[in-house]
Amino acid sequence: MKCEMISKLIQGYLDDELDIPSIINVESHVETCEHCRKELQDLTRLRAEIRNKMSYHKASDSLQIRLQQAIGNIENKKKKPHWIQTIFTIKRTPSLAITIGLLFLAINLSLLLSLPSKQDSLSDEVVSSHIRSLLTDHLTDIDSSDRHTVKPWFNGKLNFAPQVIDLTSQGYLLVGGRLDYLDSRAVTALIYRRRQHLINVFIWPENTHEFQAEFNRTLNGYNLTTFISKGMNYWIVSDLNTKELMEFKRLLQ
Amino acid sequence: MGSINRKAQMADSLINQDKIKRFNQIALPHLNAVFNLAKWLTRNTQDAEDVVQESFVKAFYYFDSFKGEDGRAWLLAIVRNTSYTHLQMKCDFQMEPFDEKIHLQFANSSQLSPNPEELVFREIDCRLIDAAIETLPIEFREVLILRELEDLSYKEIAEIVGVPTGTVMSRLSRARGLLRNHLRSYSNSESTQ
Repeated sequence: MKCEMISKLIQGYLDDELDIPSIINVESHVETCEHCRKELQDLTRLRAEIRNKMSYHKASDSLQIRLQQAIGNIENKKKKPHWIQTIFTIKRTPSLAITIGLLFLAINLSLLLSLPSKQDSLSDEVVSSHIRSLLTDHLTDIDSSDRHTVKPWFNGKLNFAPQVIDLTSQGYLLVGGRLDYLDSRAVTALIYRRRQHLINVFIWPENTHEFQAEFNRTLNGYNLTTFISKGMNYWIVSDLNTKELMEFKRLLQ
Repeated sequence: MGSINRKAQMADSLINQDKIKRFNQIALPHLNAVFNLAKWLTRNTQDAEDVVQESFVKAFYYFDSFKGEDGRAWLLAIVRNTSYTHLQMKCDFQMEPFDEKIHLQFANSSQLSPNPEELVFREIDCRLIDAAIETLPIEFREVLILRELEDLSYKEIAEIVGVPTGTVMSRLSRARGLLRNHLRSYSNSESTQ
């Protein structure tokens, strides 16, 4: 294959967007062509520089407050004309009470029918807990990238000893640990970081056999994946892409 | 009638409360992602905050039509469009020829040294990287932010920006090419000093 073709494929190769035959084409070409090999090395380095050093601008706390107020205001404004309208409607249609009654019945029925399973409701709980940990200043109870500091911290706080693994060399930095509360019990939460993405790993003993051994879900844009190992439930949640999250999961297993 | 009114009022306010709660659950976790994009596009904190507020209000209005797919992509698309409108209103787009000038300069310098072996990467300062990215034309800047900071796929970026995936790839390629030349010219000027 010609260098010209390869230079077109190189971006896709860097971004993990190529199909397998194209990946093989690029890799076999750079083995023999020095020019393209240098080009690939060069772009790989450039990309790492950009990813590591470019600023990620975070929103200020005051902006968050401003947003809450703005949305509250929309709701207040909407109410007024809405209520004038409603009074007129009542005058014209005496059967409004029946309509409202039926509406309530319908809502209740649909709620009953869509009653979530235990697995689903815990998924919601885990994702909410992850979001909460990011929103408030309570990501960690113990801040440390040293697993020999994090693991003993849980002693006496839980009736089980979670395994804490160091994955720094694989690019998943241990940020710390936190006590959390899920499914009516205290659990371990370990926090790892991959670039800008935080990962919460919830761990607690498996003794009820009520969850599937392994399952994956995406909720509100967060990826959730679970597994059971050595009698422990592991529920991992993050906004990290599925591919890297699966790699992270394999490393933990 | 009064009691019906009260009941309906209570139901209405409960529904509103619930809507705000659901909206916050979907939108707030992506506040940083959304602000980051707005800041990179407008290159100004005050403008970025205004854009984010306008976007959140819009998103809340459209929230009933949001089908719960990917909250982040949905919000990023709204913020991206709002940023563009905001910049157009501020006539910031007229400033782009300034970028074009640098852009051309980059293009020339790439022709002068086409050999990648010559590139010397120094220990590059974060501020220099940021400054180089800020000078990129907006359509290159946005794909770079979405790819490198939000880790989105070509397909996801294509949906947010509203162009084919092939265009996303060529814009990323141009963005990286321009940045490389910029950083290279910096390295060269350093080494001649």
